[in-house]
Amino acid sequence: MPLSWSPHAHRRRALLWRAAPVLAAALLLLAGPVSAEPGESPDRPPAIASYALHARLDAERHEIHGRGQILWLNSSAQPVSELYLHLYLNAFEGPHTLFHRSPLRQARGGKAPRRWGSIRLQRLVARELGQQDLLPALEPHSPGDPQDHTDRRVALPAAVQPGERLTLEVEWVSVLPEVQVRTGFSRDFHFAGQWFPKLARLEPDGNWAHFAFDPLAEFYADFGSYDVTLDVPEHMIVGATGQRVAETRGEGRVSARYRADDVHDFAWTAWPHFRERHEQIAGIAVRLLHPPGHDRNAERTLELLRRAIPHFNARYGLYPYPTLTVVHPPSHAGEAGGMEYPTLITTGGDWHLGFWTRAIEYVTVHELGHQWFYGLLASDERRWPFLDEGLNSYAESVALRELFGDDTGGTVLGFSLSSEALRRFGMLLRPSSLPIALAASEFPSIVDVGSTVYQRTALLFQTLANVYGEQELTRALHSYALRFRFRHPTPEDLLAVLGETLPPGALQNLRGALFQGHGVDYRVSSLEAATVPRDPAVPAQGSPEIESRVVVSRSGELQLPVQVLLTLQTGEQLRQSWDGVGAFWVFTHRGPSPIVSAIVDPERRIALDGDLLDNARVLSRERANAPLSLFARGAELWQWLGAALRP
Amino acid sequence: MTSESAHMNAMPPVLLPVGSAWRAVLLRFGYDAGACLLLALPLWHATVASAIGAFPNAAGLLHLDGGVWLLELLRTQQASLRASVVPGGLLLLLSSLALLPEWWLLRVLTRRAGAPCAELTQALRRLGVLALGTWALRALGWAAGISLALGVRSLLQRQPDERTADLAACAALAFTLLLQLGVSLLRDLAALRLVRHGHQRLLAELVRAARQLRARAAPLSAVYGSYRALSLAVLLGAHCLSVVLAQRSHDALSLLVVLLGLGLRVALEGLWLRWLVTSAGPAT
Repeated sequence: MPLSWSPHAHRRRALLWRAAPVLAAALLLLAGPVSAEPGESPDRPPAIASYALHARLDAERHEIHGRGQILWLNSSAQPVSELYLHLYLNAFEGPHTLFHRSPLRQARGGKAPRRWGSIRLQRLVARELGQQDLLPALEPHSPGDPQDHTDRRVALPAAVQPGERLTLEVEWVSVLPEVQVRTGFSRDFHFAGQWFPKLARLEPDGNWAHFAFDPLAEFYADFGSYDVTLDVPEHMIVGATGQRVAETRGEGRVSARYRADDVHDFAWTAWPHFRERHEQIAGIAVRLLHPPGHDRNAERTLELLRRAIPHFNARYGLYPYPTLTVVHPPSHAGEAGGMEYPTLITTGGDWHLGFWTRAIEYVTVHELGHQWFYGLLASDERRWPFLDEGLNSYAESVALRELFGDDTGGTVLGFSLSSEALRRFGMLLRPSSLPIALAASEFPSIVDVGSTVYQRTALLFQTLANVYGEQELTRALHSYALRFRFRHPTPEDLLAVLGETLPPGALQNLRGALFQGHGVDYRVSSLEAATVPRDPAVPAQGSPEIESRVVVSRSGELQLPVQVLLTLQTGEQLRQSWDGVGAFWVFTHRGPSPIVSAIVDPERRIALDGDLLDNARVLSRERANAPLSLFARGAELWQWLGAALRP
Repeated sequence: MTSESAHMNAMPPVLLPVGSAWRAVLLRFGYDAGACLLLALPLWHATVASAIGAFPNAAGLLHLDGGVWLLELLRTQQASLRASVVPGGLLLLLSSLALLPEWWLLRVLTRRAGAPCAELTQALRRLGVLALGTWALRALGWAAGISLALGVRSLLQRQPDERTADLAACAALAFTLLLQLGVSLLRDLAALRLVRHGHQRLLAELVRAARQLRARAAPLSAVYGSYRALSLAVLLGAHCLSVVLAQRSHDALSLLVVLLGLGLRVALEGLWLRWLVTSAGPAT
């Protein structure tokens, strides 16, 4: 079936929304605004890898029989004599694959399934190369790994010149595994992610960014158009990337045709028990699919989207697609939840969560943010996971703070927990000096990925915002998100844009944290006061002078400017600044009243500070009053336990 | 004079009950409060060691900034907190020693009702056996209840609406909880009988307690249910008030409210036992 650009009615709606930036900018004004840069309209990407596919779901055998065409453009400056196909379902064909033999396979939920999966190519023909059958040229396994079949090279009989297109006719069978790592089936629920033969991305220099399915890494592909017809049993309710443009029914089946332009992946789901909610939010047709009994979760999801979509639009540029599908998988298929695909996200969680936690909001805003940091920017998730997960985690924090204030996590025993607090706890529970910009496969464990890529990046950017200005950082990220939309940015691209707005010191610190694992800990090392001896030759006048001396030290490589708050015995407060250069900062004060308290970074601007509790000191002869609240809660807990366990 | 009262009169004066029932309640409260505070001491030590007191408004700080300071304290002190995890032996000791103030309270209430009481060692031994038996019965009850809940949940898991399986499991657990409350009621009846009729065989007294419960199930359940509901209300109310005070930096008051709540619940228990004693009669 031919591929062509279709008219975009949604563009008109998007222009209308763009014509009213005042509202969006006003929202942003409340928290460090940046208005949409006038005249900056992101270009649409060239369609490098487009797919016209027909997929037939065998719901009894949990198989997908697929056929279609891949239309590929050599967008590089080099002739290309080979292709790389990512056949990622082969990661689940057995315990021998790279994914499953890795001790890190549990990282993203890769437990050994009760039913394995696979993807087998049955036909691969290059139309422009004389209908050459390419299957014999398909390498039998991933490069250098005879036991893995997820990254497969195909030698071409002739080179494809720069600017030339190649049409591949494909047929395949995908055997879905029991759901894991966001793909597979559970009972009659099906989620198809990484389910079709997908071309690796060709970099501009002519090298393929191909890689086997690593348990710690995600994905990377070229933009294109997807025209996918899904043929499923008629009792199934289908959700997919893109917009449903046609539907036919007959012989007990339904064929739903979906189109998506300017995307780099396609995922879909089918389950007979979905309940649907539809809503127009900021010009986007939002479709929410959720299990029965999850009405509360559904309402909270939609309420979150009503507020979060305009937030992300204002900060990172308008969401350019006409649709957004949100899939909340049933609990028995929870492994399919918490994932992002272009114009489709999966959330998840039990039915009762919406009654007593913000877990639904947390996962929804995170996955929504990925529509920008991953979906539109499409950075290499394997090579630089921080560019999507890290930046998205920061964006998530900003969104949650704006939407909910500080107590975004929930409340336990009267203690409210914010996302920042939980991030910090997650980051520092396992202190690490790993560079943030490591490739996913270079991290020793998923815990390190979490604490470094997710939490540390978010706190790093929070620190930059606090120290160098949230407006400046917001403006910079807005510019980055718009300028590199559809362009697969690298860390240098990000740094170049940030360097236009932030001072050189900020860039230096950012580079240190990203590439060398730099950190910082400020502490008040000492606070002393002593009476200045009187000169016996001078008659005593008034009360004796007291000299106070404060020493603040910095450990770690980051040099961030901080403030020091000093409190005198009279209650008077002095505020001093230190640029963070050098290992120590010393301040002396003479007067009738000693300094009784010193706090470095009193406003907690340095979110990356390795230890907050050493940031204050009181004069030794002043008593520090330890609070009783934790002790009281502990006594209360033991009381409850005693009452529950008493004979 | 019965053999029991003769036996009582032969006891050394120091072991005769002295003071009112409220002194016994206070003793019970003092023990419970002391045990809770002792077990919570590691948290106090961790708080002191964290040096959070050097910050202004340290009392309110743990509730501010979305829990940053609380988690920072727990993180920096995690080693000492892990090291001070309460050993099972201490918990067992504290639970065993709790029988003493309980025995004292039951004894005072029984004596006030004009009934004889078993001697100390005999009563404690029987209460100890009763405690072990109650724990075993509870454990069996919960094991059965949880198995039932999981079984029911598994049976209904294929229902598209996930609430069906979960709510059925909750119903099974709620039923188990009701049964456990019944065990608690039976246990109180049995404890009373064991303290009173020290010369009777233990098992026989347990059977008589069960018969007593069956014969007066309605009034006993009604009063006991009211007592437990009120006790729960006090627990929740004290918790809420304590949390509000702590969030407003009145941490000393917050602790006081926790202790007052405990005291009120112990007093309610005393009132319940007193009613049980008087409604049971002098010799049942």
